[in-house]
Amino acid sequence: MAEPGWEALARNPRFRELVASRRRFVFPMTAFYTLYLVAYLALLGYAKDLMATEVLSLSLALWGGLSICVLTVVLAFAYARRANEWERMAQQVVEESAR
Amino acid sequence: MRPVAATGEFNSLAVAVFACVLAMTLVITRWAAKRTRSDTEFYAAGRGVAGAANGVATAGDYLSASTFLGYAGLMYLYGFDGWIIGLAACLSFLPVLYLLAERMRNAGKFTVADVLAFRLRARPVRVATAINTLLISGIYLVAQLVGAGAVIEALAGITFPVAVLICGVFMVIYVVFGGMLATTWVQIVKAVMLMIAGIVVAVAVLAKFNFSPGQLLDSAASNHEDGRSILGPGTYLTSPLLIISTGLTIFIGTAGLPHILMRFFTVPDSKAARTSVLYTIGIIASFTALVTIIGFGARAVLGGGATEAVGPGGNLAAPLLAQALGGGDGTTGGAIALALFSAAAFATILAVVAGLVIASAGAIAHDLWRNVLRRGSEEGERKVARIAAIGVGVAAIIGTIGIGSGFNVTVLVSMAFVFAASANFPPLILALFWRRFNTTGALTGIAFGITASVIMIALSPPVWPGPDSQGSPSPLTFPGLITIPIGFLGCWLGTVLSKPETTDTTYDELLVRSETGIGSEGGPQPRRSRRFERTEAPVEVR
Repeated sequence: MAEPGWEALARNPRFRELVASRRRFVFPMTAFYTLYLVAYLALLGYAKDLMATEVLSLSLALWGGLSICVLTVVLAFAYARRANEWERMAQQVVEESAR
Repeated sequence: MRPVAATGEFNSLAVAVFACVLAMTLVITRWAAKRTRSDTEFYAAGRGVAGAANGVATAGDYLSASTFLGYAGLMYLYGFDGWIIGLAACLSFLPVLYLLAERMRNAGKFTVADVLAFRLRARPVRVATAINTLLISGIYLVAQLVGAGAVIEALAGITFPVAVLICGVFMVIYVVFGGMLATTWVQIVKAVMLMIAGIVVAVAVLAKFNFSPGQLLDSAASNHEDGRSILGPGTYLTSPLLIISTGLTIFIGTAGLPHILMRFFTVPDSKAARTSVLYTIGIIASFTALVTIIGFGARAVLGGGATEAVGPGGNLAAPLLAQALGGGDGTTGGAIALALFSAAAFATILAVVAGLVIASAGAIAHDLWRNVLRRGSEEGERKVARIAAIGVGVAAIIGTIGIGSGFNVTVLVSMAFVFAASANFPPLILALFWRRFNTTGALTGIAFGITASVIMIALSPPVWPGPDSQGSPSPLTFPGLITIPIGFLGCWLGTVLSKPETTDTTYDELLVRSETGIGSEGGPQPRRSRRFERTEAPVEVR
């Protein structure tokens, strides 16, 4: 069997599946948290009075800020969970390339 | 209570504690120096830093004096709005995790330019990216030193030039003798000290208010002339566009800071790079939440009387809060609390500036000297890196003392983040994810990003028509809302208006390497075959 080069590896179906799978998660999620931040900032700017409303002794602005801290941690762990799967897929590609 | 002190009088206890911090960092440097003999050891700590340790160090690299003392200070002065920058920075570690950390580790070697040079024409791209790194790190370095000098002057009573000189000399010592390994461990020690100081102060504040956040906020609001409106938005960042632009600049800019991205070259593999960011996010998210307690706590405990004492940016609010919690001015407890808290602040300053120096030294020695000018050997490169570190240090010290402690560092911090967001982040992301992207696109993007940033900052309130003036043509102190799209636009225009480069094969290689780690240092190696040889630019020394 001929040695595969980088191009051949890039066309390897397992590799393409790895890239597609990762991108299916990473791109929409990146769009989501970016929009979440922009929406939060826009609310702070354009709906000042609403964000100053106090719920359970904290303003909505503060609750929103805490939600960003929590979101960062939650999405970090969501990524890490999926990443184990990608790690295995990458391992398969590596093994195939070494055969 | 009479809140104050920290007036710049000589404080022997604080000086003694600072001396202990310096001694500890020198021990670390001596230990690291024995382990720094190759290029990889100098720039990347031999790629032997464990994921968790690197994560803590990265948090230490990010949490600068301006973030740690600055957010709490702004919240003391203006309330909620001081928090927005911190929130955007916290979230920015998600794009670092999702898009950059593992790919950087797999595809790069020592500097951000390595990743771009991988698939684009190496020399022009390296020059542009190295200039970018030097601009961002150099400006940020001066901003940090100005803030550091002012804080140390107030806390320990050492004059501003001497304080700057001490920081400057020590940061250079860490880098020159201990390279990345010393920098890493100074950052780890500092992050731990900072977390402990932050937690202790936050718990002490909460205890004072019966662990009721509501009671704390009520007390903070009643101590502020603006009353309850400080608990909501609009007291500091006054226009909606200013809020959005500032948030976006910090969000994208933090993800494009070269000294932070460089940290991911120190770990053994991409999995460790991922683990790093998880730890970093854990620390920074907790810290970001914690800082509200410190910021509002300072207002609740110190009251309005400390507005003068905390300084123009509020940097001394947190140390003064520690002093008040320890028993107040003039008490032994207060003095000890102030000195210990100041030690954490001092360690913070030292660790961050060291990271900036090593990033700049890498850009000069690895990118410009070795790979653009093609001079010297590996031995020679390390020597040049050390000389560059000294040069950067001397220039930064002279620049900082030259502009003086009264300089408004907002404009410097803004420049660093706007450059990182508009000129560094777009080409890096596109090089990793866009097949058609080419050298012309990268160069145009960097030129557009830098030009737009300079123009927009020149037109913004801190600069035009005079310092902190009204009636500036642009209200955006952090103009990322305009400059980031211009940076991306430049990349796109340059690419589509120029001939496609034959980068298809190198993009394939970058894609395979960055996604799987094949061929990366310490990763699985491709089998030797001619078809695995680099298809282009074989003279590139990587």
